[in-house]
Amino acid sequence: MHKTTAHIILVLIDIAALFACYYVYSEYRDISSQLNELVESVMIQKPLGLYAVLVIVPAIHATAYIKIPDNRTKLVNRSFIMFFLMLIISAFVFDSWFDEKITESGYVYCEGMSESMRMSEFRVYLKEGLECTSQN
Amino acid sequence: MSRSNAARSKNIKSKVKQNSQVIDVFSTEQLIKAWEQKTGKETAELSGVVLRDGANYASAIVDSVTAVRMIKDLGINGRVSLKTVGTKQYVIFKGYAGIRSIFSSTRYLATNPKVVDMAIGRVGVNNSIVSGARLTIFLVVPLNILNHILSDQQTMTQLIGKTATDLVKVGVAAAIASLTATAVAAATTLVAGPLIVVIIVGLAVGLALDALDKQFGVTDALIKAMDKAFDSTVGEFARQLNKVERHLRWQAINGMPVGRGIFY
Repeated sequence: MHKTTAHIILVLIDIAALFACYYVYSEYRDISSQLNELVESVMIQKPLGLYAVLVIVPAIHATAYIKIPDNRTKLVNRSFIMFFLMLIISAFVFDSWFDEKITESGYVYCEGMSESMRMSEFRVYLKEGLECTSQN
Repeated sequence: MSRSNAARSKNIKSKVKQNSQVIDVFSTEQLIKAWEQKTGKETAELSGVVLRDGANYASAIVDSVTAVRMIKDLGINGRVSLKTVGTKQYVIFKGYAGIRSIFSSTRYLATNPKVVDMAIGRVGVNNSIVSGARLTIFLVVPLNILNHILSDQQTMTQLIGKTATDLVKVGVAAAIASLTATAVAAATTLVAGPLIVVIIVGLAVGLALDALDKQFGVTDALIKAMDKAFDSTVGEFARQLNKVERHLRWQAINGMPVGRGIFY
C-alpha cells in the first residue's frame, strides 16, 4: 500500500475514533439525564467503554509523524503500551462503574427485555417494582 | 422343585441387577433446571456468558497472545519495515538479532511461515484476520444453533437470520480491520502496531455494527422478510395441500368419487 493511501485511511479511522469517543460521552450523558428524570426503563449497550479504546489508532498514527530520538524510543514505546493497557482497563472499569451507577439509582437489570447480539448486549434496566417480561 | 425355582429366580434377579441401567429422559427445560440445581444458578448463567463472550472475543484473545509473544521476542523497541526487491517483499527487523529467539535473522521473506504465524507484514496480518474470522464463525454458528435448540421460543427463520447477519458482521469487521492494519504497517514501523489495531478496530467495528443493527433493525427486518417469503411459498403450498386433503376426505365421507373436480 502506498504511504499516502495509508495515511488517508488512517485519517478516516482517526475521525471515526473521535466520533466513537463522542458517542460514549453522549450515551453517558443521555442515560444520566434519563436516570435523573426517573424514566421507567433505560437501555445501554455493553461493553460501551471499548469504543473509546479506538483512540489508540490516532496515537499509533502520530508515531508516523513524530521523530523520536534514539535514546527516548524505549520510554516512548513503554508509555505507548502502558497507555494501551490503561485504556483497556479503563474501558472495563467504566462499564462496571456505569452499571453500578444505574443500579444505585433504583433500577434493576431485566434479562427478558435485554437483547444479546454478536459482540454486545443491549441491557435493559427497569425501575424497581416494574415487572420484567420477556420480549418474545 | 420350588426350591430350585426360587434359586433360579434369585439368580435371574441378581443378573438383572448387575446389568441394570438407568436412563433419564429430560425435556430441554428440565435439563437446564437440573444443571442449574447441580451447579447453582449463578454458575450456570456465568458459564453461558463466558461461552458466548469467549466465542465473540476468541479472535481478539488469540491476536493478543501473538502480540505479547512478538513484543517479548522483538523487545519493546521492536521495529519492522517492509522492503520490496524485484517481485519479492521482505520484512526487515531492526535491532540486535542475536538476542531474539524467534526471529534470529535480520530479514525474512513476507511469506515466511514464522513471519506469517506472528502476523507481521501484509500477508501475515491478512492470514491472522482470515484465521480469526474463521475461528469466530466456527464458534458463533454452533452457539447460535445451541441457543436455538435450548430456546423453545425461536423459529428457524430467527436462527438463519441471526446467523446470516452475524456472519456479515464478522466479514465487515475483518475487512475494515485488515485495511486499517495494512495502512498502519505501511505508515509506521512499530512492530506490534498492526496487531493492536486489528484487535481494537475489530472489536470497535463489531460493537458499531451491533449498534447500527439495533438502531435500524436489520436482523429483525431480515427475519420478517424471510418469514414473509416462507409464508408466501412453502406456507401457501402447505395451506393448499391441506385444503385439497380436507376436500378429498369430505368426498370420501359423503360417498362421492374421490378426487373428482381436482384430479379429473
